[in-house]
Amino acid sequence: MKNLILLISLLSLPLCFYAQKEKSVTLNKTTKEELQLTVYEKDSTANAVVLYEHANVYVDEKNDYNFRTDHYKRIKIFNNAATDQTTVTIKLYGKRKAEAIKAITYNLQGESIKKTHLLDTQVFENQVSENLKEITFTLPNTSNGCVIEYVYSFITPYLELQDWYFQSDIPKMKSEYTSTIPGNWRYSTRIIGFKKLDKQDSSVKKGCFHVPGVRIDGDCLVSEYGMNDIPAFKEEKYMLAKKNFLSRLAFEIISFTGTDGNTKKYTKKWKDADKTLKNLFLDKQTSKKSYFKNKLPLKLATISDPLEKAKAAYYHIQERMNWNDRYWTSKDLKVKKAYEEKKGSVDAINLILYNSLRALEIESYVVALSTRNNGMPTKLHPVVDDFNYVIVKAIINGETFFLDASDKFLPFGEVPLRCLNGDVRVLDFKEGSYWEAIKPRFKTSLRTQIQLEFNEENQLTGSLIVAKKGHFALNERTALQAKTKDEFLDEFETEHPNIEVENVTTDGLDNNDKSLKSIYKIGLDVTNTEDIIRFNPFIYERMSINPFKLKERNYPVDFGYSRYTTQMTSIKIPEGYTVKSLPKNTGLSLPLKGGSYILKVSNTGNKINLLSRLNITKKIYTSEEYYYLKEFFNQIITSQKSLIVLEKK
Amino acid sequence: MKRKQLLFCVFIGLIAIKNYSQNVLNNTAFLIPDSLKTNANTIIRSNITDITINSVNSITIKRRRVVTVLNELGNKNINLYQHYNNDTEIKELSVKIYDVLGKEIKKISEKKFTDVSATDGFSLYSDAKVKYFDYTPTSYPYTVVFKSETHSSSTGFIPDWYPISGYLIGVEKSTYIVNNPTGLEIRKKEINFDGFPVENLSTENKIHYELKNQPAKKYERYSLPFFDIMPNVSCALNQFTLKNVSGEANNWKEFGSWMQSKLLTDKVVLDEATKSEVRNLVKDAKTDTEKARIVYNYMQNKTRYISVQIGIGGWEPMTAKEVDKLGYGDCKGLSNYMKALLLSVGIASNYTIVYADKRRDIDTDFTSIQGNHAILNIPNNGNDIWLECTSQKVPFGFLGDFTDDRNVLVVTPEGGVIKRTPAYKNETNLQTVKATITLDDNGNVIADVERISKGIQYDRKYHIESKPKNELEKHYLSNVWDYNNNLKTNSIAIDNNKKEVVFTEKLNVAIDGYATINNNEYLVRLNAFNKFSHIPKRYRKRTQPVQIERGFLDEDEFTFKIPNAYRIDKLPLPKEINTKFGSYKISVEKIDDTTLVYKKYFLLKAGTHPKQDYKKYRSFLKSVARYENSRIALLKK
Repeated sequence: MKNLILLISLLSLPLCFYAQKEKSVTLNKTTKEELQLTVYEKDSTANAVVLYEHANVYVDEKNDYNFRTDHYKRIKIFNNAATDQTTVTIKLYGKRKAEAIKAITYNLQGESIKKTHLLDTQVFENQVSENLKEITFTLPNTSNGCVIEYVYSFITPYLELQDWYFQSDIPKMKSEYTSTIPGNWRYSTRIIGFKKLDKQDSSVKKGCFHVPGVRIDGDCLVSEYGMNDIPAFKEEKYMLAKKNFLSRLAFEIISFTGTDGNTKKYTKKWKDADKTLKNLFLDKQTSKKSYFKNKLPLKLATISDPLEKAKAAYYHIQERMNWNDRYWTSKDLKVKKAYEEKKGSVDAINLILYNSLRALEIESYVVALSTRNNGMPTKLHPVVDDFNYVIVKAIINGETFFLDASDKFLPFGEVPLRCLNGDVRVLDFKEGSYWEAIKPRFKTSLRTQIQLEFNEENQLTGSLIVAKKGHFALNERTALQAKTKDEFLDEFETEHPNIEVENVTTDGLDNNDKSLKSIYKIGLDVTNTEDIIRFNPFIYERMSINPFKLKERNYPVDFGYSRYTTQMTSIKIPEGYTVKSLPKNTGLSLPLKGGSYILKVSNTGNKINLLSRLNITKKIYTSEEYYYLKEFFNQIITSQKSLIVLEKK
Repeated sequence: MKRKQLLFCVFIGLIAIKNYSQNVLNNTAFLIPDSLKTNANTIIRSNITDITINSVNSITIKRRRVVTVLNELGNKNINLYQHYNNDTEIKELSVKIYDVLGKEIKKISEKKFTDVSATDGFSLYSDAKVKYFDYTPTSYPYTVVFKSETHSSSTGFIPDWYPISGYLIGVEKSTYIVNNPTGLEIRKKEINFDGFPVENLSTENKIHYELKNQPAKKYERYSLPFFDIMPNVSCALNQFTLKNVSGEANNWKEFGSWMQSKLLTDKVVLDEATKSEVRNLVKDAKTDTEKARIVYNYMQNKTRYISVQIGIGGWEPMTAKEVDKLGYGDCKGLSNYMKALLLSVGIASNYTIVYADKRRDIDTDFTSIQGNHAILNIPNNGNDIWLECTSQKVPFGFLGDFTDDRNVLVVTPEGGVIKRTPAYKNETNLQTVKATITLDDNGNVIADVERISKGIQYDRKYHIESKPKNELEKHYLSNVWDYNNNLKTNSIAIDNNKKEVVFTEKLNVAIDGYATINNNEYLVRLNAFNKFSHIPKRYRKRTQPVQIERGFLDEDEFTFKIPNAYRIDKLPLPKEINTKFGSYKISVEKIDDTTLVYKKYFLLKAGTHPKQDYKKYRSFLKSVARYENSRIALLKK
């Protein structure tokens, strides 16, 4: 995410706060009972359980009136598989800091409790990157059955309240959150995840701070939230970011009223959010039209067809610009400089695209989105921090195109998988922003044609033609770039151990608009004993392992895009042989038109023809549909397991 | 494969510092001979490592490197970084980038480098630092000119020369110079020069080597380790300084004595309380081995691996007293702690230095600071016992593939001695699978399976012991038997016999739709529970010898109870393959009308074979993989 540059520096007059620190939990809370625990009743598989954790958020007058969070955590360690819990790392981006770190390990020694304190010299600071520091410490003298307890304070000079995660990868008995925020701050709170709150109170605390020289004291909003018995979160395959599902609290600052009575709004309505995004996140780089008008290759402006013109501009930028693997620029964003240097982050590249398209008089908009691994943005109200990626929407001849020029292998109008994460926010700076669904433009498909016949040694030889489109093509183009041809062939043969490739030619590699087509000349070993030839005709991309193995699933399956595979195989029966058995014709379908599979097998003359077609029509399958999906794959595997058996006449 | 719970501990600085290099007259990529470009993603145009040993505690290292990157895959070889720390200062650091025509497109001064902690990925903290520059190329090919100069008071490490620093890198010229103006006693060793264009241009007080016009090498699987193939020159001073500690060593014996007196002495003192606790634990034990076993168990339960590397702490262990108090340490601290505990019950042991993970020997006849891990050796009257002290799970006396079968430096009271750790080879790595498999009329299976593993096969499995039940189920479904769709585990029982180093798994499983039923035919894959399907990659042109590192033996015996509605018709013929790589045998025997027994014997032997044999090796494993799919057809009654 873009580094927040909003420092709290708005206090024109000093304020005096009445201490809120008393709400912070202090050390020395463990009991002998906790030390005697041998298993967590509610989850006997847990290697550790959080007994209690608490965060207390308040304004810290000793630290420039920054928000301070006092963290407290107490964990029971059952066995040494939980060692990772005993080392704590606090990540500090930018000017955030951590202080007042204290920790104790408790061990039971006979009847008495032995305490081992963490020493200050055992707290380490690592500069991980320019913008990231890590504070790390490990609890001393831990053992199976011990309890560890630690506190630290997190101080941020930025306009932010950190999310509070009730849920983590180990279970928790109790997790609580308290905040005391002066009434001149307004902010919103959301609860995310499936689990309900067990505690939720808010009250106004009169006179929690006063402004020197002013008679009346200010009020604070005191909020308390809590959850009990929170199960550990387990990750599963084909799942969106776990952030979407973890139980947590999320906050967003709305406004701040200074001591001079002026109110500064941060984000409340989309109108405000649009402004924030434009000014701060996009660094005012959305109005560089005239620069690009002069800089773009002259021939672009001469193209009369708007679609061709837009494509030419897109491909020019895609080719010229080199992505530095970052989504947002960590420092100032300068599209002119990025264009000159031919490299930049996603926001720089796509803002160049936006400015260029506008310079060419193509209706375009900046689009903010959250990538798949960043979680879904909330739609309840604007949260600018939710967005971590920028693309462009263009409307050409009434048709909408979403464009991302940062990836060298995207065809015009396609976005990478990381962007396919529900709705995106189109920033229309004139009319106001709006949500829009983003879908892959091109169908993702794999079409295979196989022609095989037996040679003199009764081994199969022939050709395999593979045509990929959409994301399948994109994935392969990306993979091919990182491999030599030899490596590619080696890997192909490793994945298909029965196939030996004599040669391969690939077509469409240099044009992202085309489908990617590879023609292989192949040889293939088949089991061939006595008078019977037995072989499996699904020689390429046969489905043999079900990706879904668990009995049930708590979260939807998300494939990202629908997909279509078809395979046509034709096999010539050698002379002197007849067909003994063939795979059965099969037809399967998922409920609610979720997908289908067919296998048609026929034998005419000396040819066996197989046609198989798999259609996964949806990108998301709910946890209720999971069972069907799993069974669907099982049936396909069974169908593709069957053999062709030929017998000597 | 799952990475094991064992961790390195480094002696910082041992991370092979790559050698870099020098100005060429012309930075255009046009001048590279085609012969160098074949298979190359990167060309080292010129790489000069110019070292001057000013005195026993002063060394200057100048690096000048010109690298042309031909394509995206070569970016990882530009290495625009320089390490430094408390006793190593960067005097000069800069990078220039040139485009394909040799035009300068970017100039990066030291200020523009990012300055961060040099985290090694497993230490909690290290005082090592690194300055790096992250370059995003805009077109290919491009050329970087990297220059750095460092000065250090530690002369214990003189950078090695690896003119070929990796695969798919062509080298136009690489130069290694060690200036020794004051004529200090210096030793050097050349390795693997055969077949490489290396020239020795050394003169008095100056070591000087060059390698020119070396085409890129390609990595091939099953080849010997990189360090055993590529040319290398190492140098070491007889008298040196290491983090302000002075040292002297002409041979391993002296080196060991130096370690003992400077780094290990006074480190084995323990509190009386701990000593008496341990003595009390072993009071009924009869032999030293039994005592050591109890002490080892105590150490495993009490400690965990945490690495903190500060100053000489990269080489010197934490005191036993401190480890005792904190309950953690790195490999050095934990090995030394174990040594102290053993001493308190009257057992002598020796601190030992080793290269862990990928097999690499401590060089028997070249003494210098080597190794990246520490273990403990108990001489035990000639029957050495070796202890890995960083794992809370590994059995007593078991090293596994982390430190097996290699030369190590044992620091004895009489000085350093090179010894070899035990090897786990061939039949030692035994796995037997026995199963009773009941088939029903619909093709479903219920089976009792017992799998017993020893040696390295034990090593690959014992870590699953601590998995919770649901994870364990997933492990069998998704890893062990992923080729059996619809497999369900009804019961799982695991026994980890640490004393004998035997791992036993007993399961009852069900597999729906295991057999394929076609009309009257009921097809059953015979190898239900130990399918070997690995076929080595095909190389159109193999250039390296073939190495099978450890070998193993698998013995399977599956008893099939066939369904009521079917009868046994023809039995598949037995298969047998004998090669110099190993043997493979399968057979099916009819016991009675409803019972079949399938037996498999598969021995893969450790060994190194000439490159011509690769094809045969591959074809052996290919045949094995094919026979592993053997089926039997039952017929309807």
